[in-house]
Amino acid sequence: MTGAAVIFAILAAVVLLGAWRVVTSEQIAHSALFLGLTFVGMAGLFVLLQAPTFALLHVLVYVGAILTVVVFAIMLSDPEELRGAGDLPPGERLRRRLLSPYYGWIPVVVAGVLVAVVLASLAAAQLPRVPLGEPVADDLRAIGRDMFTRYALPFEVASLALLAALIGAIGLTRRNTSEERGRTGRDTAAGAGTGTPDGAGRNGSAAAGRAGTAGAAGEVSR
Amino acid sequence: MPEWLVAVLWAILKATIALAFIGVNFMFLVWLERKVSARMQYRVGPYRVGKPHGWLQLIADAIKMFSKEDVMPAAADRWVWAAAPVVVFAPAVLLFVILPVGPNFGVQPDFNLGLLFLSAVSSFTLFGIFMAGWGSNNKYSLIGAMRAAAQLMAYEIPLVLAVLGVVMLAGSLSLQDIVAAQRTYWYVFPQFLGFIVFLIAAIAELNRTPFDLSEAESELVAGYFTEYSGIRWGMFMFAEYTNLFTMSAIAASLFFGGWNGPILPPVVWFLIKTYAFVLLAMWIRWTLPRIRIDQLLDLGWKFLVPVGLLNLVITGLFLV
Repeated sequence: MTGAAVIFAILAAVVLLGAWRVVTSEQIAHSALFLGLTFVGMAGLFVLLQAPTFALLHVLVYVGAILTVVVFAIMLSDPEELRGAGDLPPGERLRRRLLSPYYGWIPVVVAGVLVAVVLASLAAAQLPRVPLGEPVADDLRAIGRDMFTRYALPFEVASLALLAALIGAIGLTRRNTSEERGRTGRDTAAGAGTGTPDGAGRNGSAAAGRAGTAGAAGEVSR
Repeated sequence: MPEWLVAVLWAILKATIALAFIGVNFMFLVWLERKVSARMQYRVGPYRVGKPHGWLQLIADAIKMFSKEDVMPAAADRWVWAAAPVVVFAPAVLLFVILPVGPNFGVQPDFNLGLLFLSAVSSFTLFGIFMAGWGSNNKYSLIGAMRAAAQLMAYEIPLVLAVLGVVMLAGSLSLQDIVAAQRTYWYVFPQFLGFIVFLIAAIAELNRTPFDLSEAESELVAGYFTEYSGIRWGMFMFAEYTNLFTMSAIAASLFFGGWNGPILPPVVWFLIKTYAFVLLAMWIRWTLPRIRIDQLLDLGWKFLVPVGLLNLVITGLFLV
């Protein structure tokens, strides 16, 4: 076995172990941290393929933007809702999980279909085999040039999709704040266009934080 | 000796020298901060331990820190809580890789993706903070971590926008190339707007007053590291002062010509400019009061991001 193969085996083990613990952890905070470990392992695989640009972009987008938003969402959530299944024996817990639609068999079916689609398209694409340790195309200039010439249209479509997601996120949080304000008998939807007055306090700043989160994801992954 | 063994030994030697410098620099900066704050408040600061000017105080502080009891909260999430200081500390040390200390002198001076490395590595800090805040199982810690997350996200983007202006002028992501391109004039002149954005965003990234909302002691005890003591607490401080140094070094390299300068050797110029920025950050810290969290987020999203984008547009127009 060569040195590259040993390092590949270690990194692959880290990625698989991390991914396994993401779905089996009892606490969602642990899942998020193991997801980070998986991303770091995958960045390591890119380095092993002599593609440091992809490794850094991978860390920047997945750890710096996506996982950050996940972590932020966990911290904003009610800890009672994040509790695990509790003290049931593993077999019983598994049986109950599989019987419930939203946490059980629907995700399993969706995941199965997704895996089948990915495997089928991988088989159809006939990707070129690159031996370990051989340099691949990894030039930031070339990536940037392609992004603005050859792939300009997909790039713009992706930006539009992200913008739509951003506006949707802002819309959702806005509606919640005006409802809450209406419930407490204060002026309804007064601050919608003008920004939150200082006295509105926690709800306003939480909404701003959440909107900011979506903005960060959109900006960084562009 | 085989080639790879030489490479490994060489890397270990470089890492040892860098770590030794980081340790000495940490103690020096703590002493400097105490002295600067004292002078600003018309005091003398540490004076008794060691002559002149209490220079042994930092050794005494270090011994105290190492010998303190390491208390773990009973309800803490053990592994997450224990790993957090390491995760905060690692990116601070990793950033030393890209610092251009002199012409072709540094840990890895010709790393052609330097600034991409900077933003990729600094995103890990947030995870350390999250681990500390979540793992402590303490509401002050969690609120501190949440504030830190919101703040880091709000200021990471203006920081990158400000850096992009410099990258456009130099045409390279390597700090070494950027410094070498500033032989005739410093980039602070064509990029003044970008420099202002960078300065504000960098101080916010460093969590220093007036932007230290995540550890605001009057409301949150100590924010995300409330539950840490002894050497684990020391590692948070270690990371904070190391980040202060690296951010100052990057500011000096991006906008003030890095190691360029007459007569004195390049390394000395690098250190002079870096410590000038460190002093500026301390000056700001002990002069300005803390602002409020919503003001902080407003400043980031509604002022710094538009100004950063404007700076990019202006730079682009001049280049075309």
